[in-house]
Amino acid sequence: MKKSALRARQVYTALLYLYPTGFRREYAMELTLLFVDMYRAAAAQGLRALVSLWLTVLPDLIWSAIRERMRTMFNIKWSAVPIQKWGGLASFLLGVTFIVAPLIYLTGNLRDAMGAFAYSVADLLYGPVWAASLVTMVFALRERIGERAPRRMSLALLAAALAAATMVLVACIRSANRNYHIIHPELHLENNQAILIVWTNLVAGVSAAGGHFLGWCMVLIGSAGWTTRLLPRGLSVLYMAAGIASLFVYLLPANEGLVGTLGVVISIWQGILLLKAGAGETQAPGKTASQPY
Amino acid sequence: MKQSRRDPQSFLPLTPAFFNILLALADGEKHGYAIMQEVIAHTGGTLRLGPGTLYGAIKRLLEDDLIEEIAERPDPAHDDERRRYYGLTEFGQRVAAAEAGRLQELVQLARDRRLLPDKVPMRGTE
Repeated sequence: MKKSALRARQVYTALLYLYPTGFRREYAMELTLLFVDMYRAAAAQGLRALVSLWLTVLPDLIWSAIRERMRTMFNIKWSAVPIQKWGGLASFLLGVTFIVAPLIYLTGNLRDAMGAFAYSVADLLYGPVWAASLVTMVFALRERIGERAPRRMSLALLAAALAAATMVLVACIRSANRNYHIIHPELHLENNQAILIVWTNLVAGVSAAGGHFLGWCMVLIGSAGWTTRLLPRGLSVLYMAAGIASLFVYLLPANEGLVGTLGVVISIWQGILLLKAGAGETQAPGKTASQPY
Repeated sequence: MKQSRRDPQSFLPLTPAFFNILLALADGEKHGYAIMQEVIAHTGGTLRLGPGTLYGAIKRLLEDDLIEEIAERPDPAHDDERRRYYGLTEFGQRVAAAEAGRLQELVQLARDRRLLPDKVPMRGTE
C-alpha cells in the first residue's frame, strides 16, 4: 500500500473511535476495508476525487457516529423519532434566541439586581440553546432534502456544527469574563482598557467566525432548497441572502443586525414547514411511531 | 418460523437507502463495497451511501432479519477473507417485494393522473 493510502487509512481508523464501542467492535474492520477500496478508486482518478472522497466520508462518519451513539444511549430507532417535528420546534427556538438574547445584550445592565442573571440567560440562549437548535433544525432539513442534495446538506450540517461550536465558545468567553469581574471586584477590571480591548476583540472575532460558518450553512441550504425545489423559492432566496450577509460579518459587522432579522423570519417560516411535515409524517396511514423504517 | 409471521407491510414505507440495499442484494450475496457500487449503478449515481450510513443500515437490517450474514467466506485467492458477505432473507425478499408493489401502485396512480406516459422508456434507452 502506498504511503499516502496508509496514512489515510490510519486517519480513518482513528476517526472510527467516534462510533460507540459495540458498533466499532462489530464493523471497524469492514468500514476500514470499505474505505480502503474507496480510497484506491479515488486515488486512481486523481486529487479532485480524493478531496471529494474526504468530503463525502467525513460528514458521513460524523453524522452516522452521532446517530449510532443516540441509538446506543436511548435505545431508539432513529427514524422512528418524528425528527421533522423536533426540527420545527428547534427552528422556533432558534427564532426566539435570535430575538431575546440580543435584546438582553443591548438593554441589560450588569449593576441591576437581576443583571447578572439576565446576562447568564442571554449567554445560555445565544450559546448552547442556539447551537443545539441550529444543529437539530439543519439535521431535520438534511433528513428532508438530503437525499436529493446529499453533499450540500452534509456540508451544511458540518458548517452548522462549526457555527454551533463557535457560538458556544463565545458564550463561554462572555460568561467566564463576566463571572471573573463579579468574583474579583477589587481588581476593577471594567476600568482596565487592555482587558477591555482584548475581550472585545476576542468575542467579536470568534462571533464573526461563527457568523461565517452560519453563512456557509445558510447558503448551502438555500442552494439545495432552490435546486431540489423542496423548499419554497422565497425561503431559499432568504436563506441565500442571509447566508451571504452572514458570510461577510467579519468584514462588515453591521451585517449582524440584518442576519439576525432575516434569521428570525427564516426560523419561523422554516419552523412552520417542518412542523407541518412532522404532522404529515405522524399521520401517514399505516405508519406508527414504533415502526422501524 | 417467527420471522415469517411478521407482516412485511409493517415495515413500509422503506427509506430509499434501505430499499436500495435490499435491491442490491436481490440478485445475490455481496460485501459492503459491492453493495455501495451496486446502489450507485442502479440509481445512476443519485444515491451515494457513505460507509457509516451503509453499515448503520446493514446493522438495522440484520437486527430485523431482513438480511443475513453469509457464513461462507470467499476463496482468499479471489477476495479478502476478512470481508463479510450479506444476503437477503426470505422475509427481506417479502419486505422488498411489498415496497416494490407499493411503489408500483404509486406509479400506476401517476399514470392514471397523466403525470406519466403509459410507457416509460427504460433508463439508458432514451
